[in-house]
Amino acid sequence: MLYRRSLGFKWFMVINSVIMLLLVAAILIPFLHLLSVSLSHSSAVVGGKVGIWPKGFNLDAYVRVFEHPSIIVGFKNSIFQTVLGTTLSLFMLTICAYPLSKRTLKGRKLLILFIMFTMFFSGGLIPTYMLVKSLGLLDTIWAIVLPFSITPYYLLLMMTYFGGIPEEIEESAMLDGLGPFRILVKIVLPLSKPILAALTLFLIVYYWNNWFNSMIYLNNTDKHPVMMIVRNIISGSELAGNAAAVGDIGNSVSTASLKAAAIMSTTLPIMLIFPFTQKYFAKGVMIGSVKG
Amino acid sequence: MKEVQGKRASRWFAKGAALTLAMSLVLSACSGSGTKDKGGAATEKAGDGPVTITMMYDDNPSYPFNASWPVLQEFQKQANVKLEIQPTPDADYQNKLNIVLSSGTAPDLISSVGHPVYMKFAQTGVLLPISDYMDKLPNLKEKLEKYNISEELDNWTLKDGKLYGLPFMFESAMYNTAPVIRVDLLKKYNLEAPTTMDELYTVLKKLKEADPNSYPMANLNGALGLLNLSGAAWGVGPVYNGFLFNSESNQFEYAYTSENYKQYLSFFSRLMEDGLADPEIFTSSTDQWKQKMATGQSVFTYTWISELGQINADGKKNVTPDFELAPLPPIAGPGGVKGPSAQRINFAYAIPESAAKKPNFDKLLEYVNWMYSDEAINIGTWGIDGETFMEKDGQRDFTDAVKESGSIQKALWNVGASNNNFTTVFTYDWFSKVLNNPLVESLTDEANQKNWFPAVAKVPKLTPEDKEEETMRNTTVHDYFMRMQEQFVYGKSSIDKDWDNYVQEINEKGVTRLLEIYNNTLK
Repeated sequence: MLYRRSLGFKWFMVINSVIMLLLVAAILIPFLHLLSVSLSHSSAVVGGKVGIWPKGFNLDAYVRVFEHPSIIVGFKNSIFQTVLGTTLSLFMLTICAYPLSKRTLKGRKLLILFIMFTMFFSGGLIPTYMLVKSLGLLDTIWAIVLPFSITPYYLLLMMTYFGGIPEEIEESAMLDGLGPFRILVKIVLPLSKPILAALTLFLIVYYWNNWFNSMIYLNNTDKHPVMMIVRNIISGSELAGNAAAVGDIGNSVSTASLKAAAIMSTTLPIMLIFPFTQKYFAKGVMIGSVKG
Repeated sequence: MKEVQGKRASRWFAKGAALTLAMSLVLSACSGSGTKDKGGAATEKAGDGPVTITMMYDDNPSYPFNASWPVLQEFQKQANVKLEIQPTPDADYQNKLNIVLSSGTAPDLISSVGHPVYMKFAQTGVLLPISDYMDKLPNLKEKLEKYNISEELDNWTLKDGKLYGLPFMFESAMYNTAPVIRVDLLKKYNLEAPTTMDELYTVLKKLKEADPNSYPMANLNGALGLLNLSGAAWGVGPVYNGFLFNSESNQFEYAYTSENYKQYLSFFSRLMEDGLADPEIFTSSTDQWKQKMATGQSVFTYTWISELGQINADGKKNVTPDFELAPLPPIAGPGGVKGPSAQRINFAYAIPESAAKKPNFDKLLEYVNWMYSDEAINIGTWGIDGETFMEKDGQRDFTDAVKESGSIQKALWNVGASNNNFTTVFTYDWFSKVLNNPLVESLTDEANQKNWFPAVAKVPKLTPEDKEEETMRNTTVHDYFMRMQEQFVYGKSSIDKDWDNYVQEINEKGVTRLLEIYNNTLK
């Protein structure tokens, strides 16, 4: 630990901290600006007077967003899609990746090739749509969660991770009389918490943010997720001629605040998930599990 | 030991994989039967009760779809139908149309079909030829004659002479976009409102001298927006894909290689060079543009007259109590005193060809015909009798509650009226009452008298093969045109030196071929 006392190290710490602070500021300031725009009065926003502190504080923009007839249903649908999609994906990825991570599996290379092929080539939008339609999934939640439950890239991550678990651990479990399913559930999965946590986070963010599939496959507002509604609000406020009608004259809500409020109310929930999964990322579970 | 164990394990894994496959099949089968039942119910009821009509609906964020709108209820009651509405966000509506029409899953009725999507699909036989059923649509026929709209309707008629859509019509063109200027500043510096482009340059120059930090002219909606709103005055609009129809020579011409367009470029590059135009003239977002206008950084722009109320209110608070942006008559350029292009048919309703085989088809045509009746148009525009409007001595007007609500438009939207998906015609007396702006009304009167509205752009009637080639070439030409326009205006290319190269290049990239295709259609 002697190096910590050297002058070079002190300089390194100073410069490092400055760079990190700048980086944090670059991320935090736009976010705070958007937050304060969402809480400010129209004339201050349009006058360009809003920095990172709200001017003419009011919640009207949020009231406006939540006045939308489908937004509450939208939140419910988003949560449902996200929970179902993430659970299903994790399940499918696990049971697909585990066997494929075993070198002794016959035809493994061919199977992997089939799956990886879809990473680079896809059927295209309309053929995929027609497939979903022929499977009878149109206008159901399955159209949103099933076709996307196995993402080749995530599968690759998971396979690599499973493959990295020393075979000796599984062998000894097998000697103790465990079958492959119980080995997977009792030994492998507990050892794979970091990758599971990472993928859960990716999947949650993916399903929460994905409005496109819902737009294509769902016909009914009762099923639309909140992101689709928010996207419509945002792009609508971009239309001139239309925008005048969105905010009434003399009203405290400008289109900029409305947009900011819509973005805030949908990104905040997802941001709250990060702290809960973060602790799994750094953990080196595997260290020391193999002896000699 | 290891070998044996490996084999056993791999068999287990194989079983696991089979299980997964089976499970996913079961899952999809379950949900599959669910939707099939629903589809059957929608089309089965052809008996006495209200017939169900499925409809794709363009969900506008200003008035998000609400199933309990009184106007929607009234529509279903009066026409004795049940509308099963599939709302799709406006932002992605035309995209979804593309997918739905390509895959043959379109519902009975589709609203808000834009011209490009219409032209793309009408030729493929996906859409029902409406003109074949005109005898069953007397109301539509009557309205088309009444509004004297044949010139515009011609742009929606295909090479086979058939119409594949039900037009959504404005009774009259409106002067609702205009050049707007800060009249309080004109008064302050004793300037005249500009009537020609040269005068505009002088006025902008004087205003810049008065406030050297300002950029007098701003713009929203990018380069194409500016061309849309001011192109006719410069003689380079309205265009179809950049092509003008010259009625004298009876030929199409490419607008963006013309002498007029060269002048247009010179004008804006001069504004840019002298700091008279906002450096973000082609890139400002609506919010940025609004900020520039409301803070007094810019004092001249082309925009919707309906936007001015809000900006003036914000400007009075931020800049000066005298702040007033006001619309002007068209500023004359080489094209004469011409306003913005004034389309009276912006989009159409469409019925997919497949609907003709469904049992509810007769009822569907009946409903569509009803949509063009005065009764339906009244409900769709004025709303509910006694609630949003009153009729007195044959004159209709909004109720006081609506008038005093702050925004007539919004009050109508709240009951489902003034909705592009339900109504088929916006009548002039109604629309001017909704805009509720005496300036729009008087300027529209003047525009009609003085002939400010330019003729609509003529759309060539292409064969499917030509259409395909058009799409391909047009993309290349358009990209190049946009790039060069920016370079000329920002002075990265010199108009004196590089113009001939530009003309030659764009001709080679496809303009020559497109001209050939378009002019062939006239023979």
